[in-house]
Amino acid sequence: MSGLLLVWQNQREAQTLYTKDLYTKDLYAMDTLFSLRVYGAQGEEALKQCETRVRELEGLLSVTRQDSDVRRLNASDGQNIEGIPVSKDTYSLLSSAISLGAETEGALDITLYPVLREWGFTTGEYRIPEAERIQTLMQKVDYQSVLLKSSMSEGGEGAVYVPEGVEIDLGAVAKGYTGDCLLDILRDMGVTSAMLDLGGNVQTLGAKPDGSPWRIAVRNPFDRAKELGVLEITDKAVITSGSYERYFTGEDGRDYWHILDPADGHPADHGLVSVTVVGDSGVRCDGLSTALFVMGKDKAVDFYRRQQDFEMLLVTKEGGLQITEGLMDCFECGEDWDVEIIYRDER
Amino acid sequence: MLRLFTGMRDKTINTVLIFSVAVIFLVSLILSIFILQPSQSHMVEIVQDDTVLYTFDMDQAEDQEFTICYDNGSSNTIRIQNGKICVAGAECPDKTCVSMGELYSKSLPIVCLPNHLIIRFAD
Repeated sequence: MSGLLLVWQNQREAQTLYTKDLYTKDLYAMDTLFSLRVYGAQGEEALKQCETRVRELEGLLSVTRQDSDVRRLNASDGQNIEGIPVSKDTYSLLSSAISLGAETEGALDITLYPVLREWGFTTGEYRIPEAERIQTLMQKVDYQSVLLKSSMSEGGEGAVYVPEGVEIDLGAVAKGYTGDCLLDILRDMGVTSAMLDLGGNVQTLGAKPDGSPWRIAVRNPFDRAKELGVLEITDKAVITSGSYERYFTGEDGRDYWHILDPADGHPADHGLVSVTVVGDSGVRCDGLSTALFVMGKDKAVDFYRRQQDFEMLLVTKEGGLQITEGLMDCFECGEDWDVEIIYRDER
Repeated sequence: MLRLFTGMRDKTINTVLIFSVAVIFLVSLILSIFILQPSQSHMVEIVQDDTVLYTFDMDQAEDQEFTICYDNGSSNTIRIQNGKICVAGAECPDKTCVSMGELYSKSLPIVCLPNHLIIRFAD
C-alpha cells in the first residue's frame, strides 16, 4: 500500500513539475501560428528572446514587408552588379537554399515566386494562369542565377546579386531556419526541453522533462482533422509539406496546390500528397520536404539512399504510406494504412 | 482442552490475517486502477491572441452553436455537437479552419490564421 502511495506521490510530483515549469507562447508570424513550449526556470525569459528573434527574422525574410532584405533584393532588378548588402541571416539562409537547390537538382528553387504569385498563392486570389504566361515567367526561374557575391564581412553582412526580372521567396526554408535559430537561443540559455511548432513544422530540444520522447502527430492528408500516426522523437525536426496545406479547386473541377514544380511552373504532381522529413537540421528538413514532394516517390527514394542525415515518410495519392527504416521503431501508425518500409540499402 | 483452544485461536488469527491481506490487496488494486490510469483531459479552450475566450469540458458540453465576432467585421461560428467541436463557418478569406473539421488530436489544433483564433485541448 505504502509502495503504491509512493508511486502515486511520485507521479503527482512529476506532473506538478511537468506543468509548473512549462512556459508557452503563441505568435503569429511568417503567415502562420508559432506555438512555443519551453520547460525550465529560464522559460519565461527564453520565450521573450525567441519572440524578439522571430520578429527580427520576419523583418528580414518577408517577401512583402517594405525594407526586408528579400524585398530589397527583388526590387533591385539586377541594377547593382556588385550585389545588394544583406544581413548575416539572409545571406546564410540564401546560401543554404541555393545549396539545397543544387543538391536536389533544382527540385527546390527559390526563384519561383513570380509564378507562385501568378497562381494567386501569395494573395489568396487563386486563378489558373494562361499557359503562355507561365512559360514567359518560367524563363526567369533559375536559382543558379542568384549569386552570393561576397563572403560575410566582419560586420555580419554579405552581398547578393539577383538579376533583372528574377524574384526570390525563402518561404520553403524560412521556418526551418527560424526554428534552428530559436533552438540556438534556448541551448545558450541552458534550456534542455522544448517543443516548437512553427505552423506545423515541429522542432524539439531534448526530450520531455520526464525523459520520454516527444510525441508528434503527423497529419492525415486525406482528413486534416485526424492523425496519420505519431512519431516519437528526441532532439529532432519533423517537417511536412503536403498538397492539402494550401490549394484551390479550379473552374475545371481540378485541385491546384501551392507546391510548384520548377520544371514547368505547375503544381508538382508526381504521385505524392504529403512528405514528412525527420532530421537534425530544421532548415534542411524544411527545404527537403518541398524538394522531395516535387521529385515524387521514386526520385525521393533514390535521393534518400544517397544521403545519411534524414528519414522520411511519404503518402501517395493512392493512399499508400512509405516510411524509411530509421522510423520503424518510432512511428505508431494511426489507422489501417498499407505501410511499406524503405530501406537505405536497396533490397 | 487448552491445546484445542489455542489451536482455534491460531486458526482465527490466520483467518483474520488472510482476510486483511485480501482487503488490502483489493483496495490497492482498485486504487491503482483509478490512480495509475492515464489522464484523459477533454477540456477544450478557445483562444484569441493569448486570451482564453471560452473553456468547455467536452464530456459535459451541451450541443450548441455560437458566433464570435471581431472588430474588423470578421467572425467564426463554433459548433459543439455530440462532444465534438469544430468551426462551422467563418468570415475569412480561406476558410481553412472550417475545412479542418472536428478537433481530434491534442497536437493538431484548429487554427483560423486571419482571425488569430485557436481551438485546442487544454494542457
